[in-house]
Amino acid sequence: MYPLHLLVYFDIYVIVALSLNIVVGYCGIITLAHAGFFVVGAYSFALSSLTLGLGFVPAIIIGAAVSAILSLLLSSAAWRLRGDFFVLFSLAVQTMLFSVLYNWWSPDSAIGSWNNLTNGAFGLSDISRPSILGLQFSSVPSVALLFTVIAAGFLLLVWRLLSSPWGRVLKAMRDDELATRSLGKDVRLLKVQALALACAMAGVAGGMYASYVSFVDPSSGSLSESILFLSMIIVGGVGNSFRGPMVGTLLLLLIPEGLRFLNLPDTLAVDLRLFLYGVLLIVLMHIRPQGIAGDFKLN
Amino acid sequence: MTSNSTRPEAGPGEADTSLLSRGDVVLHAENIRQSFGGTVVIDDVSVELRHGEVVLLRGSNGSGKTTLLNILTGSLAPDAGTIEVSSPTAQDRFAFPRRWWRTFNFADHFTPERVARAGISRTWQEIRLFASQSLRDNVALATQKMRGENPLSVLLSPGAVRRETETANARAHALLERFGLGHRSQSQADQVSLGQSKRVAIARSIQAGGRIIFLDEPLAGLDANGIHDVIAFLAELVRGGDVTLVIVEHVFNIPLIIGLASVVWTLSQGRLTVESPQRAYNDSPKADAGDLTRWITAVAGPGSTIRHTELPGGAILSVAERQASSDKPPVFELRDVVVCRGRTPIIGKMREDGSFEGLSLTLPEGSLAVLHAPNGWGKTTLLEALAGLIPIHQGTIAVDGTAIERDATWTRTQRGLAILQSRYHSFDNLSVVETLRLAGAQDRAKDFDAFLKRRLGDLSGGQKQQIALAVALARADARVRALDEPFSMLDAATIDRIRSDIARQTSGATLILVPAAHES
Repeated sequence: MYPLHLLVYFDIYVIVALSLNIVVGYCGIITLAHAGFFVVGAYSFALSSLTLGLGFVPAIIIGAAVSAILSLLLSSAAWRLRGDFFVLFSLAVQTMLFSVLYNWWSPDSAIGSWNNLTNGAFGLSDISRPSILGLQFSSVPSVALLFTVIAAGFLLLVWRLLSSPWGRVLKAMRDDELATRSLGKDVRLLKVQALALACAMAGVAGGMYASYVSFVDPSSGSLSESILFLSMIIVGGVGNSFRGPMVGTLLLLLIPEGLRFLNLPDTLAVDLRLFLYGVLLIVLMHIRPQGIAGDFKLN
Repeated sequence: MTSNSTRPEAGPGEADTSLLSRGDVVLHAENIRQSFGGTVVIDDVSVELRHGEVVLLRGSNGSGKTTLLNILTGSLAPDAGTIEVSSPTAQDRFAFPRRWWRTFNFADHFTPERVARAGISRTWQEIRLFASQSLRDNVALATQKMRGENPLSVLLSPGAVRRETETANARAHALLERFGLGHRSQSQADQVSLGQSKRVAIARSIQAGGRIIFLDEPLAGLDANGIHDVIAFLAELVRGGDVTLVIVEHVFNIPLIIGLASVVWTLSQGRLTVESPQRAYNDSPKADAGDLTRWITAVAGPGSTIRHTELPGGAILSVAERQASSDKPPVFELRDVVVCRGRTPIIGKMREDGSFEGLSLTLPEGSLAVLHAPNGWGKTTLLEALAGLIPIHQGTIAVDGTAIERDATWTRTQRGLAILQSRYHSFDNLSVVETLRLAGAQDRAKDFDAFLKRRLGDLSGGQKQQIALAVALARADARVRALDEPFSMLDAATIDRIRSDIARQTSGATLILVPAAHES
């Protein structure tokens, strides 16, 4: 059962990493807000499920749509801001999304009502496991099977898109935005498309997470989660359709799991995990800046 | 001729018969004005471009060539004026200054992409290919209105997108073949020579549907073969008659390219004069392959020795020795130096037994040397290795007999190495005066009064090059001055001044790197 549990997490996070690769690896835009869109998707899914009684598929679609719409916050800024300034802006968006989820609550109001939409730090619980066309995916193996199919679907989708002329023009924009514009390419539209797709995918992954864990709180969308997502693709590498994100996800998922077997106290294990992430990033930046399986050097 | 005229002056013995019809005007710009920080750079300039015309745009450093080019290609909105671009099916008109409410209409911005879609394309001095992509993809992605660039179409109409992509790729490959690059179609853009890159950039502009193509110094940095290839290619384009070209070219390259031009625009102090090609040819200083060699011979003085050495890879090193030989070690020495990119030796070559044969040369005290090297020889790589920006694979680099190849870049500088890298290594956010202070070259400030307080990022290529040279030549205690294409982008008067500056440097050694058989 434990390996299947890991497979479920791998499926969720590999979708996040694939989506972030579109933005970082193909657009050359570094964002620290991705966990914000992940958790927005999770909350949208949970609220659609808990308050509207929607099934897994429509709730996931709503989660993706809300994240995609909110991605305009980022893409409109990406029209003008570049480099470090965009990173700072994305940090502001991340903080804003986290704050909204953390503070949109009132103890006197029902969960999901306008006054208590997110239930604040207490989060939303009792979210149901996936159910599609009457099929219940309540056991871990069945969820693992469903999520693997979904992740494989996204992998195919991303591969198809990034190996098309769309992926080619995204890479051109990453390499030289002015030259791309001078060829008549609408880089603003490209950024809107890329960020909407990436945030929608993060929203789907968030919905899958909420469905599997049956609980979501704002900590799933904290800055440290955003840094974890970014670390996945920096370690694994960016600039190719899926190799780098898959390797990075696998590695950063296995590190904390490996620490479990050392029987360390929880607090120490958390610190050690962050320490290992840091060491991994430093070593890679020196010896392989494009990541373990990446094609593009971030600089 | 006044700045707002668009008729060429007739040259000696020429009839003024061109540019009389307005029937096929493809671009019309009127009363364009642009200033930076109170300095007027473009002053009430009006121009007309006709279909099939070839315009040579010339002017001294800082005359506004790049600014005008940036305005006409949508990279810079002028302070005032109007620009009209006509195509067989539509006409775009931009009036400046723009009304503030127009900023809210995203479909009506004056941007490079909008202008490009109206049929205006450009190339850059620094080429700007997409380095991570193949030559074919660099050209193919310039195709306009590709459905495959819409992610929904990719998913919903895969068959149509595939066919369209195959067509675009085939057309790109055919264009590359037409330019003699079919065999390099799958090579990555950062792995081809400068001359090949320039041809790809032009092919990309054509694939983008450019009916008017602005070429910014298409011959800069090219060796004789590269120049021949690019001129032959441009001549073929002109013969086809389906594009209009505006060529900005360095003063010494004008005689090479003037034969293609049907009209010459001359910018001086922001004002534009339209002239005949013959007049421009007569005005232009002529330089041939022996020009720099004659110069160093003259600098060395009568009775001095000029030593010519053939180096591996077809490069020629000409050294003028201005002092009698002594027992002192040479000021500068390379012994068996090999520099690799990845596993490929760029400087030096691999022998059959797998060992390397490196580059060796010596420069004695007071020497002035010119290294003529073909494109792709590794001039830039050699400079970077000398500066310590990339490691050498084997060999010794010595200044005054002391090996420096293991030293950090700043230590090499402290030991007396002064490097001028080729282009675009400037502090764009510093002003000129700040840059000169940083380099300890405050005493040169008087030479740059006209733009002393402007940011380097706002200067033209020639002005930046002047600052870079002033910085590189500033140190009186420099022992070795290595200058990569120091005269590129400079006008004739500035070249003369810089040559005088270099000639005055009698201590240490100076090494000038230029493309083979093409100088200044």
